[in-house]
Amino acid sequence: MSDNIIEVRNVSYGHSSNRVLDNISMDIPKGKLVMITGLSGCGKTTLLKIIAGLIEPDQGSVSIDGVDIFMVPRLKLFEMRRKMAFMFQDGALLSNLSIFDNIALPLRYHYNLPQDEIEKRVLSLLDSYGLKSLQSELPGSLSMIQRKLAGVARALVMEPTMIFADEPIGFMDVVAREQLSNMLIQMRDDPEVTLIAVGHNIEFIKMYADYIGILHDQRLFAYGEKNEILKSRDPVLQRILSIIIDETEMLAESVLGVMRGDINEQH
Amino acid sequence: MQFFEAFGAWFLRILENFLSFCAYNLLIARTLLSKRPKGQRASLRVLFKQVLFTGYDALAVVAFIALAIGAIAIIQSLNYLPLFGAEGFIGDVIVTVIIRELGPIITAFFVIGRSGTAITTEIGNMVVHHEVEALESMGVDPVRYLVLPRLFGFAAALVSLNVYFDIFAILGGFLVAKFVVVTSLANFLTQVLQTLLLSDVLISLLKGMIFGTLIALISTFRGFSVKISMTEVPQQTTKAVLNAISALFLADGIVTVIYYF
Repeated sequence: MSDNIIEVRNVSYGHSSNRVLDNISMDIPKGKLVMITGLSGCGKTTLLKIIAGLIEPDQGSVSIDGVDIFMVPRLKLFEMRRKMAFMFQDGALLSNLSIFDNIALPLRYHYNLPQDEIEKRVLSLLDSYGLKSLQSELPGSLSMIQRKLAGVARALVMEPTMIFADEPIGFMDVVAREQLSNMLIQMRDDPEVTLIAVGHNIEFIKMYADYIGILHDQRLFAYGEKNEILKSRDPVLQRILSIIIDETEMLAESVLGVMRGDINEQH
Repeated sequence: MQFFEAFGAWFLRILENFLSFCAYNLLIARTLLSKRPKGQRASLRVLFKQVLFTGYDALAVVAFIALAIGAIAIIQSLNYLPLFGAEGFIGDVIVTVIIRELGPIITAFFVIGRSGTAITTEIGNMVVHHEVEALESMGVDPVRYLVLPRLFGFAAALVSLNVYFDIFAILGGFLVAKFVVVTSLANFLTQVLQTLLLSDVLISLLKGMIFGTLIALISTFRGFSVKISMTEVPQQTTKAVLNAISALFLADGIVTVIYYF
């Protein structure tokens, strides 16, 4: 019996003149951390959203636990999502709700819990991510990193068994990066939790991923167990990996350069 | 030929919009009839906030408009009714003009301009900032969470505002009548109540409910019609206002014809 919890078959997205993803197939085993990487703009986030059922592909299918999520009735898909969580790159918090209410929203919607139980769960998460003092603030008054952390807390409040993470540790400061890395590792070590993440951080991928997928030129250029991919002698694959590393370093340098420039101007 | 091409393209756009709106209404009806999630608090909060914003926060302005409309209607009537010896028909003016027609229409216009535009803008912004996608990712049905509470909130608010408008319009009319024809409140109210039928009140309330439902459906539909860019938000908001006004007059005409003919 297959251990695969998610099966992606022949997924394509975009018009033929402007294809974003072309004929992608992959199997995601239960309880593993799958990281999908590639150059900027290669369609990583789009693929992640298709696998999570947020975007419908133009062709192909995605099955979760044997259920084709694009053929299932709408309300059934919403029920399935109670145990699925999506961590957006920028948090995607509801701008008219406080941080507390944002995180409490899925609990209030799905369950008839007493207020003190909701408070207990939400405050515990807020405390874990250093956001307790900001619980009454609106998302607009938070920094980007704080919004992202709040988005993570909201994703975890329902104790999901399937987590989709879009650049979970991208462009974070050292403290936030460590918090989120620890969270991802903890989830990865839980055999009941399946994690699918997209990102550029090759060091993190090398250290923690179980499976790696590399998107290139609209296709899934390589997919398999981490060691198999990293030890591959395919020169094209090695070239793509080195370009991804360079791109990430260049971007980090340009951000640091801007920050240094700002600091020099101030002094 | 170019004319026919342009006309054809325009017609197809209108048809596509109309069919999308019909499909949207079917989705809402299906969600309304489907099993509710266990938690009610999330949607009830939205409903409460909507009634507060659309109804309660509008009371002062609606009272002012209603006083003015009532006064203006009586002033104009008192210009012409005495020419025919028909001063006694002031009550008919109040009932026919204000309670049956102007009350529901003006209240609805006010709600379109104030709350309808706010809803379209809010939902449109949520689409652009991926907040609707975030709701879906949590298993929160955007129709159940964003649309249904607003549907009930608008209908409830508009029915209440209608009654409120009618009371203040009658008061506005009385204030003019008191000074011009030197009548007492008791006389004035007697004239109004002699003309007013229970059916007039019920039709006025029915119109409020229909108008509120239409405004909520159209405003939320236009909000969800925003696709990617912030520039679409004001475009869809303008369309929401125009569509709602057109739908309002169409519905008013249909109800009036069905009931009064």
